[in-house]
Amino acid sequence: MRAARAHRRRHYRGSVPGRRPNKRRDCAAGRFNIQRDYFGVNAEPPIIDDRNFETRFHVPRNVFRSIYLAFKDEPLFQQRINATGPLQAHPLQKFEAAFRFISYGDAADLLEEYVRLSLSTVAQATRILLELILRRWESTYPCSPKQSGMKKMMERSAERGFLGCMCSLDRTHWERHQCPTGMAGAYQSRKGSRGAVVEVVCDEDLWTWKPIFGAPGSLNDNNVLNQSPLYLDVTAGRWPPRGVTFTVNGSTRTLH
Amino acid sequence: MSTTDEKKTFNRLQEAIRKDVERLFGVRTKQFHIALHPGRYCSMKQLITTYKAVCILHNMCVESDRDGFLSRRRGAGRTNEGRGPGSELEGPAGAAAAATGGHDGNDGGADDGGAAAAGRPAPGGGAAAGLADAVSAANPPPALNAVGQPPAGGMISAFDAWGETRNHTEHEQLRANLTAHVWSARGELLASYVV
Repeated sequence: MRAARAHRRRHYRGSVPGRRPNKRRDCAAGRFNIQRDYFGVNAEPPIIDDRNFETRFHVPRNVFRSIYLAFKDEPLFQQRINATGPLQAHPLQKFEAAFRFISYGDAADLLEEYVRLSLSTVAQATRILLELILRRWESTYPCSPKQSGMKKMMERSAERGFLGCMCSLDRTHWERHQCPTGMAGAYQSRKGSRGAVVEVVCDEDLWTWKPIFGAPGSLNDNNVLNQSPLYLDVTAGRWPPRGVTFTVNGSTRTLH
Repeated sequence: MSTTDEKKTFNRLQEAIRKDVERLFGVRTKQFHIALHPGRYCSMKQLITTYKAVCILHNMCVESDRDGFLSRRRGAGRTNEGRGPGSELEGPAGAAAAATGGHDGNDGGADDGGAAAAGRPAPGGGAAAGLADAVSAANPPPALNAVGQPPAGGMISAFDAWGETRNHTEHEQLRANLTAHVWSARGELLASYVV
């Protein structure tokens, strides 16, 4: 990935003779505003309290904090010093920008006013943040439930009256605006636009696992299921865990 | 088309259970608007990254909110109340499975092969065998690249399992059993919701 980033860096050449000078964005003001509004400065409480924090960022404060602490020292996010001396953007600004981008779907240049970062920095911060989250937590967060968890889930669905039910599975389509014309036929989704199929499994309180993305939109649900890792796991005997039984109307079955 | 009252009741309950995942799509799109216009990114790789990262973020939020959920409290209250006859075995077995699961997690990948090998040969015959299997199989950790790994019992077992997933008679029978169960357990409760 690093090689790919180095290759791409040619696009952002930075301050070299012949290019337009940087805007006077006043990064420090952006950082000060964010700290005053959400975290408090000079021993004063923040203007925006916890409840509004969650409505603003669409994640609870502790989740934001854990992500911030995990990645604030990554090369893109740490605060750097410009060649001419002044400090550049604080990690907080980039996190704020990335989170607004993720949770509001804001245009990247809209954030220039409050966060005081350039369009390209916002886009880059978002992209890198998503990559980092994926790399750090991919193995822990969307993992499929093991035996004990599976038993608990079956108990819960039995309480709701549906014996032997583990979870719900469904698919939806994500639109792909920038689909190459050559692949438009394969990605033609059912609503008339280009799209790809998203498959996910979730339980009662919306804990998701096995998120799968990437089947072309022209496939129907049956075809997507046949090629999804979930189905391959079931047929190859990797999942669900063995030894989970349920009894319906007198006859006992095993999940596997 | 469901004709009888039993079938209609079953259908109604299935709809109610299925709504979880339909809700998920709505909640996730509202929460992370990037899911509304993901196509801003050109490459498929970038889209996949976005999707998975959004799922992870969503799970983190769920985990931090979880204690406030009604379902969890209801589940906890129910298990403390006591269970039906014949489920005493379930307690210790579950505890053992949980304990071995934790142990596995600490050990990392080293234990995986042994545990999987111990688990495979017994294809879950009766309930007793299933329980013994449960303790010995010791919850192998999730495979990171599951698709790349060959099935443990060879391709024959995979084809058998594939056939099993398309077993019509079994499907019909399970559905009939479930319909009967739902009718006897929830028929009255759901009567007013069935059109």
